[in-house]
Amino acid sequence: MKSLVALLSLTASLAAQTAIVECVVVNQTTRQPLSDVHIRVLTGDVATVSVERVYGAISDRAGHFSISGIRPGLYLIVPERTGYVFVRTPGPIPAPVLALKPGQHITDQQVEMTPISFVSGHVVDDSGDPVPRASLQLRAAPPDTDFVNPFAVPLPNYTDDHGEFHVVVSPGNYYVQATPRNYQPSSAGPYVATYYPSSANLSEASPVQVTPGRDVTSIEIRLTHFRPPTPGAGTAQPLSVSGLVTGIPDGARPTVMLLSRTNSVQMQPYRGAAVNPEGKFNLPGMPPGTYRVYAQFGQGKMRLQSQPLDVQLTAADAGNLQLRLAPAEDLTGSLEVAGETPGAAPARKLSVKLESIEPSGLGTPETTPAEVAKDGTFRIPAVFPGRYRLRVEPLPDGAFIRSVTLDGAPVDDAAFEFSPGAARLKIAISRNAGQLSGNVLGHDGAPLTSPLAAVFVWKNANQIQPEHNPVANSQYALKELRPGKYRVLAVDAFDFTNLAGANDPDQFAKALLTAAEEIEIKEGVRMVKNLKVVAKEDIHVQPKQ
Amino acid sequence: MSSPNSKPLPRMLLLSLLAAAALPPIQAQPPQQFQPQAPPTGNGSVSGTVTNSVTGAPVLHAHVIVMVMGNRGMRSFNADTNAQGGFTVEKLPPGRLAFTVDRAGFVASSQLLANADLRPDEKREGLKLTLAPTGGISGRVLNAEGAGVQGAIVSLDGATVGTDPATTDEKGQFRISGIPPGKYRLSANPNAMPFPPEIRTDGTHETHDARTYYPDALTVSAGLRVEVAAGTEVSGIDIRLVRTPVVTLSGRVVDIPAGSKASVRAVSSVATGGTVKTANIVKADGSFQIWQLDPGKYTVVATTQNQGSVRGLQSAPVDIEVQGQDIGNVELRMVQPFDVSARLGFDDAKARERPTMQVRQGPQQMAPAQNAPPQPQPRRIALLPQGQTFVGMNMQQADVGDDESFTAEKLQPGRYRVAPSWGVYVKSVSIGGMETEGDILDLRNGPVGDVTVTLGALTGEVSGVVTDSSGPAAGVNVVIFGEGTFGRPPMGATSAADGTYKFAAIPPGKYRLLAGDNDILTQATRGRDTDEYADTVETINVLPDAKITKTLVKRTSGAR
Repeated sequence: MKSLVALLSLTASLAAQTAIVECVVVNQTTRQPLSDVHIRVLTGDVATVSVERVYGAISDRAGHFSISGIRPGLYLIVPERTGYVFVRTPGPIPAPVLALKPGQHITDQQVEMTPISFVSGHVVDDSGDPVPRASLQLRAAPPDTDFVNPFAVPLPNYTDDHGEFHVVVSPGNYYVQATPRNYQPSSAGPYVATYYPSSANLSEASPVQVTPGRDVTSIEIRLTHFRPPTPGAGTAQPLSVSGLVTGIPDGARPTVMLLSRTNSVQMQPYRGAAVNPEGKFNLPGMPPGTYRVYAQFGQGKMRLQSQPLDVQLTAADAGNLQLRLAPAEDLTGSLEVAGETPGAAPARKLSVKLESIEPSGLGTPETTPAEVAKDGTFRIPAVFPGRYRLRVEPLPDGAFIRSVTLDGAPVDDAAFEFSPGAARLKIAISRNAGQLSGNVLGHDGAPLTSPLAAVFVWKNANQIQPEHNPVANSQYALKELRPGKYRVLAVDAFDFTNLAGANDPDQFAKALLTAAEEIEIKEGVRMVKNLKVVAKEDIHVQPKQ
Repeated sequence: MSSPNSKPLPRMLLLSLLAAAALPPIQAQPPQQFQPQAPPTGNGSVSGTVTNSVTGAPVLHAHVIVMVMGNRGMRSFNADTNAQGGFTVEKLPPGRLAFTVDRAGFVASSQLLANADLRPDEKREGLKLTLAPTGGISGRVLNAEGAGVQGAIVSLDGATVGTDPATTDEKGQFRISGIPPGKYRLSANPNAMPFPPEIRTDGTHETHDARTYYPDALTVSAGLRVEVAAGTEVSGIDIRLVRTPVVTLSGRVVDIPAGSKASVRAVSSVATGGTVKTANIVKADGSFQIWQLDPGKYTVVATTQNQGSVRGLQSAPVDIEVQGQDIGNVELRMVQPFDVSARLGFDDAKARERPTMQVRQGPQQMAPAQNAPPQPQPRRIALLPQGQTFVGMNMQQADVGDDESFTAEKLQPGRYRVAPSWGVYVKSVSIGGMETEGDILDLRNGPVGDVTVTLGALTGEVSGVVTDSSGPAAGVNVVIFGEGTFGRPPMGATSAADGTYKFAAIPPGKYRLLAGDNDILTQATRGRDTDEYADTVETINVLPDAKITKTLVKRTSGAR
């Protein structure tokens, strides 16, 4: 009876050009079938990242489900059942992918789930007292890497009034971090976010291993105060960073902030220090590394900041740093559009603004847009020293920022440093952008129809993560390119759904970069070039050292 | 290099080849080096004990902060209590004292003393401070079949300081802790994944569980309140999610300015919790969809963002009610900011009088004859945006000219409360000859013409006595407010030592009056657009220049 129904569905499908999917859902460890699993088979618009159509089913006692009448396309299978979590497939796409062709009938697909586990325990302070209302985060520990589950709603996890927590997780290795919120400081100072068992530094954290169906209980996280990491065997002695802050208003107490990459990928606030009444500051116990230091003071509407200094600590202390507090300054400049006479009314009103690319607290996050006057001049008000990205809006079609100079020296508009002092920005806009377009070809040389195709572009020599350009109708177009050299690679994501080692974004990007092709774009030239998708065999992901 | 056509690598795995392009940032706050306090001055001290207000047991490791307001400014000192609940804070300068005590598991409290001034070198002993222990509520969230729901978020209704929401575990169990004593409603939000309605061919049907108030209610007021006494745990509070149809709202945003992107949101009414749901899809042609809507009334509005020098816009809001069927073809029309001119009308001669201010010639001039003639005060009309449909709008003001008219500029569609700056009230607003009582100017559909705002100055007075079981009651809060969501806003008063209360300068109209604890007053004002509290409040009709007396019985809140 069942096969007859299947046969009828198959013929119906073929006639209507739709597909049928039959699957079995099993427990990953025991391989037993799972009933009452709510399965969603979903597809969407890849370019706008939106789910457009979802087919649903519930698995029966044999763990079996069947969905017919599916329109051909690319689908993800996402199962859901209380007490279980879907097993993440290796590779960049976490769920099983099905490319359904018209009339196709899939019968051999298996979907795995694994019982949910939990991590529980409590958070205490120096005296062993429970810490309520601390927030808990779990980060992946090696060999796992963090990944954002696009199908899960992030759920809050806080300790209760006994300082206890209970976090439901999928199996893996984790660092567990507790962050106190509004918790009173002890006599030794304020408490900071602490990793299990008791350190603010990731390098000293102990990972917790969660195996399928086995819970980890009684984790005690003892909150700690800031302490520089202890030097291990063979590493250098802790160094110090010190200096003098000048320009302090009467009675003010500024702070000195230090940014570092020690615990994260990007620069983050790492440590702060108070400044003594004479303006001196001292940060002892610093491990070697690259830091960025600045002084700041704010009270009511007055805000002062010094020029940030980049400090490289290797073998010696960094002393005598001079940080001069000053208010934000205006940045004046002029903008010229090639082919337009300055003074003539421009085709449209342009405005210039700066966006800070520093971590929060340093620089002006976003300056007020400054309108470019008829004579091409502009004034950006109240800019604090720091690193910025320049934006000119709205740029007409085919226009790009050809060059930017600050006080005569050329700077990169995506990242340039603004220092106090009479600074003048000169922006030249050209309307002669280059363009690169063409067809994306599959392995067989014919135009590629995979909806997961993309063209990756590396624009700078230092860039690791490329920019991603969508492919529509087997064609791609890169517009408004500044003249220069680019590396380009066409990829069909479908080829990489099960690539081991592709979990590490940096290593994977480096592997793609090696296979990319170098293309030179000249000013005003519209280049046409067909790109063939890279073969899986040509990508070798190096494991991280 | 700015190249708007190519997007930076997005995080969503469905799109990107490279998993997890950004690691989640560490949540650590930048650690500050601990600042030792400025050297204390003084030889005074205070000592005493902190005890549990329910059991009388000493509270150890309670954090006691003493703030001293002396002539050099304010300084704070602190100490922790020992195993006997005792504390001593030394080196205090003379001044006025204020205490704050807190400890995990207790309600933080600020306590004042009868004699708050510490003399120089005084050593005050034997202070008795108490802390009320917090309580907890635990239970399960169940679906319509009685099975536990994992990953639902349970929270106490309304903002409550000191409690976090709880997430249900794999058995559907939750516990909310750190609750100060009081009565609370709970809501459970199942957090459905944001997917469009499913196509099913196996004979099963997709289900949708709505956000539900304990025990099984869809609206806030139908929810029961759970009473938490100091230090008690209330268990067995099971919330059964209400199963509702899968409803999709769809429509189109029109008149979007070129180059702008619209976003759409549906704001639910106060009765269902005032939540905001943003559209899951808004396409370039303006078509949008919002999935998985719970039953109830919503206002749907579209907005566009500021872009360089082009200001963000708002659409005319549309009111809908979700019952069981999909709602389609909702048109949201983006409206350019517009001006509205209005004439003033006067209901009585007093309203027509121009407001004036007495100006004295110099200090201490007592003889009126020496004062300058009264100076006319400028008259201004403010338009205050009402309701949840506005995004980033501030109130607008317009000056009233000698010709008794005013023009408000650059308005966005919505409802506004008309507020004159001088001592008159707005009796009614008429648009194109259609008059509406009250002070609301309805501009939800954009610009209108022929607007008259009728002002009055003859207000009424409402007074009386508040009584409870033993006669006139002093110190009871009384509130008076107009009916309906946009009725006249509440005004409050407190009954005097003899139990009397008085509201002066009440604009004529229909009002509800209520005396009672803050709980019941909040409930009744929130429920003003329903009839739910009709038997608890007194309804009165205030006429111009009339005085009304009403005796009010002090009400207390019950289970609801």
